Amino acid sequence: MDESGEGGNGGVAASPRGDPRDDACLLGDDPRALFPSAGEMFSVPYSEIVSLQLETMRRRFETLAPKVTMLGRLADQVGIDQIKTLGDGAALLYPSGIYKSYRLSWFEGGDFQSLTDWLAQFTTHDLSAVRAKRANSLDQWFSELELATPLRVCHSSATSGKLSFVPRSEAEWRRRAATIPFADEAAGVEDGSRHVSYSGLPIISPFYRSGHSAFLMSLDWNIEVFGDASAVETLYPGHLSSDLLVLAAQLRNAVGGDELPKNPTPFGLSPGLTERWSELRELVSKPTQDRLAEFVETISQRFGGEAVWVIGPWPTLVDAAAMAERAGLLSCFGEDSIIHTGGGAKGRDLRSDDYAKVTQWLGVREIRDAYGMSELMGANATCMAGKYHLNPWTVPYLFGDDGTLLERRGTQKGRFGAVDLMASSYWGGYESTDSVTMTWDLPCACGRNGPYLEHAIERVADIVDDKVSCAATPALHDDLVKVLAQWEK
Amino acid sequence: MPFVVRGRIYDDATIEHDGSGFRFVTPDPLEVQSELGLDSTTGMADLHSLSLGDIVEFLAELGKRLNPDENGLMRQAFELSVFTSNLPERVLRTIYSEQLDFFFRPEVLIEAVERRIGAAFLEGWVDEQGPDGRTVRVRAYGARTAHVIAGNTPGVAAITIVRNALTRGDAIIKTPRNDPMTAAAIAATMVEFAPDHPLTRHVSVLYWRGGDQSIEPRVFSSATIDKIVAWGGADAINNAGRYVGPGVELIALDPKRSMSLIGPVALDGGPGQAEVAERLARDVGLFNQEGCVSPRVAYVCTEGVSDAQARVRALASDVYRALGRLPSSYSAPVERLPQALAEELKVAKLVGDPWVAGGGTAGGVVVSSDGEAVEFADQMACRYVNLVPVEDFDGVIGDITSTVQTVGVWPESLRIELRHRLSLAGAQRIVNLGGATNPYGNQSLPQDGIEVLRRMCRWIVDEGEPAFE
Repeated sequence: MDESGEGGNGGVAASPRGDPRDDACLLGDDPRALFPSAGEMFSVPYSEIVSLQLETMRRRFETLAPKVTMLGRLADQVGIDQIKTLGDGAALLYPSGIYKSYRLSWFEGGDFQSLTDWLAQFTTHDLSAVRAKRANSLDQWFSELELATPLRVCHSSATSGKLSFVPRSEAEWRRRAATIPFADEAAGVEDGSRHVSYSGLPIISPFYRSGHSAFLMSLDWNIEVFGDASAVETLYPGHLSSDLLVLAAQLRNAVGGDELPKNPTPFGLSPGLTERWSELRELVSKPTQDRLAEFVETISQRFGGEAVWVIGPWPTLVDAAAMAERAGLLSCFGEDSIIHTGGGAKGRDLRSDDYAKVTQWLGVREIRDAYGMSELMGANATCMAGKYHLNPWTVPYLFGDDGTLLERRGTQKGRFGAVDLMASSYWGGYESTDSVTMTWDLPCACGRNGPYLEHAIERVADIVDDKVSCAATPALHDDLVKVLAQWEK
Repeated sequence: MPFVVRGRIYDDATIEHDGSGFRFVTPDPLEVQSELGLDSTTGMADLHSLSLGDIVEFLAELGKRLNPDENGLMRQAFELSVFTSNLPERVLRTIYSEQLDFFFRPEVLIEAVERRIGAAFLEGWVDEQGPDGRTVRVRAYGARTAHVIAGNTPGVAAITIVRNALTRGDAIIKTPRNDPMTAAAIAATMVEFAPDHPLTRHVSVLYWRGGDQSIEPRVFSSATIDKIVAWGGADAINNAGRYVGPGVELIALDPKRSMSLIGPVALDGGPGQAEVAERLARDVGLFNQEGCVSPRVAYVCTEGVSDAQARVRALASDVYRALGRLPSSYSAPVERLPQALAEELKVAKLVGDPWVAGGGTAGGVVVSSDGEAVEFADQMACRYVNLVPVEDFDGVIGDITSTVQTVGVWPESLRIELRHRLSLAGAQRIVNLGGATNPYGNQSLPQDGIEVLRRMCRWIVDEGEPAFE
């Protein structure tokens, strides 16, 4: 590990302050209070971070193991009753499919009570007051959960037809949002703004305004925490129904190829598809591409020249840039605008025309993406050298092909897992389906301390998962539009 | 691996193919493509000068020469299969050394021909009398056939070459990535001992990546083939289907799934349970579940059984133990489970539902708790089966379609009781539990509801004077 402590930020070593036990609390509960900026956060020698991580993980486990049924069961199975080393966390990662380990037949059959009972195993919140029996759709189930508890569940993109549900609560969404500026701040030897605030920035997002997909929940909480709801423009003003997403996925999986029969009956689709037929038709009535052309006009008229915060999947930004180019809209926004994207951008490495077109449209010099996933909180920034730097509340592990834990040194390729220490109402241990190359202890050219990942991230071979990438949801939506449009012929 | 084209072996390897964790090299199919097609079925006259006796004798001779201990090409095919196949090395060795020859034995061949075609139709014109009193004559001729074969077991390569010879066909065999070489090694063996024999001259074996548009439209052209026999997954069948049109017929050996239906005797906690465990383990475990004949889901009727879930779990444990007792030459633990299955099992073990007996690389039994197959039932492989307790079989039979091939039923009286309903529903083979995986194949039986041997022939009619009043 790099213990040099060379943060490259003028020697202002932002070491954890005061009692390490308090710092451990802050690392999990409010990293932004512990580290006022990314520069300070990444200048702390990683050995100190590791000590904080161990203490934080020890406390999280102690609090959660008796209350979170699934964690208690996992701990029993692996024979761990307390965290003694960070290595103990490696044995306490939920397998990747855990958040969709319910029966699909439950919500197909409207059995939202069973789904609630299943969810209750993952959270410290008491779900006994949830009136699940009143729900007859996924959207209604979310409403009932939110009425009775602080849970604000998000879900994956449904590409497989089965959603993963992550049992996050209000406090965690706020906490998560508060850490997002770290990803936009210069650190180490980087040029650029060392303290970023989003306050006052209009928010632009080329998708729905709200919904329970991870991308939309994140957008919603960013608006809630930083934004002014009256200064938000989204491509679609409304709420994306999770039920419609599932139906769309079912439709696509059932029908398969391009040749669509007029009669959906033989495909054994959920009865909900017929019941919500008119809503599906409404989506067909105006494809995304047409709306996008109007959207780029609208946002440039409303916020042209201002610094804005754009949050969008990369493929949609690319489409929007093409529309803007056709309409002669260039350098639309202030050059200090913040652009958050994922699902295809290659940050600094991206040399394609797409990258040039998006930056020219928006009027920014550079766009960097971040690494993250819905099961783990936080955006892990891309640095000037094109590496993803892991935030200190994310305790990383790498596993070999045979599942053995790889050593925490040198540069290794393996399956990525982590314990997210910000999770306090559920257990943040999760084994991802990403195969990454991670460097543990060699300095990065950007000057940040701590482990970092190469930009190229692959899926672990032959796992069919529906990990949330923010690209998947709009892509699925477009599929839905396409599928239904063909259906209409 | 070499290509074999009409009695010539091409081993000028110029193209490298990437498998997962291995590579193999082949000649360029485009370079031999002009030799492949037969412009007219007239070119098959030499085959029709052979008697059935000649053909059986030739195949029997070929079968004796396929032991990898004595045949370098077959040894190479075996060694490549160790990398390409999902079957463990020990099981592959059994198939190559002890089983392939069975496909070529005279008594097996003669029985298959007699029962599925009738030797007389292959040997000459057979008189038939119509209701109008006319005598007409019918004869089975060979066809020019492209075979897109599966590679889950080397037996598919052997049976393809045997069927082609018995029906006097002209075969172009496209081999799969999981067994690229066995068919080529058998054809090359034919070249070695009888290079000019008509049966040798009417077999070609090549590998290319399925769907390759630079080669497939040329090989699967209606000018040079009459039929396509396509085995395997949906992609392979859909792909072959693109070349079907006037003059080209598809014989589709579709992707299939198999299941077991077991009566309450399985839960008697005594000899009935022990017998079911042994039988189910055989169906699941022999040849490591690589064949579509092996069940992925077994339904157990719990009617009148108290504490059904616990009893089914006890049966599951017995089945798992029985899997471990299968002879290692026919069934063995794998080195690593398919990742997707391993992930599902990890989740199941943590959640506790479905319950799992075993669960490692030696296989396992996954017990459903709600009367439905688990959502990952179609990923069962490497000796994993989903045991589903059900009150009765009505729902299960209601869901059977033509995608279901073999249904193993126990006890025997239940098989007899259910076979008509199962057949009406779409199932194609109903066996006593324990008989699904027949180590010596079923050459003399229909396959997947199809008379493959008959359909590989062109059925020609010779009529005399019309019978006008």
